[in-house]
Amino acid sequence: MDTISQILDTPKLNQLIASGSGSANPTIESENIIVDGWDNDVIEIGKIWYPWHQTYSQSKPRLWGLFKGLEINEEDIAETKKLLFPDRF
Amino acid sequence: MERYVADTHALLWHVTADPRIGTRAKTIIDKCEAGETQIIVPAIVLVEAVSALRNPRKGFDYDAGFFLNLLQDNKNFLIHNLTIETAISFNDNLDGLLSLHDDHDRLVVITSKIFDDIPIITRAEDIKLIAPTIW
Repeated sequence: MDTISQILDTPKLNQLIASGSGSANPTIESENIIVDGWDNDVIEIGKIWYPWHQTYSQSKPRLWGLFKGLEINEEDIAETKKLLFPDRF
Repeated sequence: MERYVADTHALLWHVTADPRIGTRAKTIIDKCEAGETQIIVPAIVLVEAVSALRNPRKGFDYDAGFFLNLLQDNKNFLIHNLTIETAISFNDNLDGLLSLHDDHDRLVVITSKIFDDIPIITRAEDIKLIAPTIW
């Protein structure tokens, strides 16, 4: 609830409640915070910011340069191969 | 969609952004990351890559698990497991692969054969002599 209250359009909500034109109970639909207004209309008073949305929007890590700076030489790979499959022929 | 088989050098030099990676090799792996090509990765190549990333003699203990997860998450990298079919093909083709130095390279070539001789992304000169390659 802290996340919601931080970004909620409190003045607008207070104004609606004070004028008797809105519900005091905001509800959430998808990312929208809404209250009931006159004639069953719906008034959007804010949007929820979910911290994990930022994670979704970050670009996916790429394989290219994942271990940039690590130096693996031919002999390192050859050594690994020999550990797995010693020379037989 | 074009398909290739990856050898260990290609994958490792891609993740280390090593300038020694061949121009065409890098382009193909970049395209695979972008979903434009498919790369078959023999399981033995992954084992070797993990072993190189965690080489105690060189003091390496890089996050090979993260590398494997990234690879697995990209559906354009197709991991080819070492199965009984691979072993049968290995047995059937072994005589023609004796010029290669080790069973690792033989398994990489066998993987290419299983997928109708698709090019292998490798710089290995001895593989170039007996299989289609690109670097």
